[in-house]
Amino acid sequence: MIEAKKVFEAFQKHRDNAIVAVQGTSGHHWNGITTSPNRDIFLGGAMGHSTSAVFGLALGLKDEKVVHFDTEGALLMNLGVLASIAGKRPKNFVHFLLDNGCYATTGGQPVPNGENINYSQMAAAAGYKSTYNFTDLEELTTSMEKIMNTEGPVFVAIKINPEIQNLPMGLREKRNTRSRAQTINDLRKELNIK
Amino acid sequence: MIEAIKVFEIFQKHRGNSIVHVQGTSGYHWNGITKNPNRDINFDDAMGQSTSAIFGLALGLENEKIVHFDTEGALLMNLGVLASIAGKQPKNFIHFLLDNECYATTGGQPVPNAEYIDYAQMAAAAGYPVTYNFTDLEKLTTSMEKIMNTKGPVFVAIKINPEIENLPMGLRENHHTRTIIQTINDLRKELNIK
Repeated sequence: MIEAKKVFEAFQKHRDNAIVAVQGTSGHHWNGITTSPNRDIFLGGAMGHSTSAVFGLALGLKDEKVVHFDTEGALLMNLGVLASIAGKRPKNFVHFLLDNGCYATTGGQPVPNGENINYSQMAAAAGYKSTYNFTDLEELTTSMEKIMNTEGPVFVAIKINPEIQNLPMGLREKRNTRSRAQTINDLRKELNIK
Repeated sequence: MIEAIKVFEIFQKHRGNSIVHVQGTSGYHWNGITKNPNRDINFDDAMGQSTSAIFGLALGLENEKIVHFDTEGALLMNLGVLASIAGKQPKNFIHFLLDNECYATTGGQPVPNAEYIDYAQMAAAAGYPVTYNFTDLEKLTTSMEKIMNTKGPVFVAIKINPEIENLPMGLRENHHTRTIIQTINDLRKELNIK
């Protein structure tokens, strides 16, 4: 098991110019780590469907590396997207999966068969050429450079510790500093898209 | 590649007393083959979601064998159900997948990455203890008895020839002889459920 925050710290060193989307509670750590927020995109946590949206971004922006930090609870809501992604083979798409085995945002309810599912095997079965499984921070850290230089689509499943939220939704600290529209506009400006 | 009608002919010999649901265009062949229509159930082809409904039936009717003939186009619309099924490990559930690599009902549009997806591997990755892959009729024929006697959940992927429909929907023959409600009521009567 790895701390989500450590994943993002290891990733930041090899991010380079990549466009980054994060999903879920664990994704909030990225806000404090990113050094290029204009290349971060926020799609509002639409579980399962942010994956489709970021995949669309990868198809549209062929010259940019597009990185999605997905979660297993979200991906399971739209798991068929693995086939769509594998079918299009976006070379510039790196698909991380932060797997905490539960729905942390809503109180830690277990994901069905959470302990036994092999998500990277699923991605391989869908047709991803390169897949990884990590449960150890050191292995992940030493592999990150290679992952970021592998031709996509790449799938990287990482077991992380859950950070379960139990406060009522309305009492939680708001972690997003920009609206979705703002992140899209900032990204367009950054990429000189009129 | 196997003809869907042949799959059902072989299955009929080993059906026993099982409750059967069929999905998709290929499933219509079952109407002419079944010898126990009161134990057939119709969920009106709700793509992806019929799988959840029939899985629920397996959980509720623990003493009955429940057989679902799914299609790959349907399953992809709710692929996460594989995790839900694997998580509950219904011993009485047999999940066939008739894979014709396209959306035959709507004119034969290709399913994403259809030639390369390994659905049985996906089911195994989700946690199904037993999975099969068939492309050959003879192998399927000799394995059917064993499949039907295996403790579930079992996943059986079968490559079939597409039977593409091109007539406008309104001009097609109605394959269903009973409504959803009727099949449910007939099944309840059959099982002595008041």
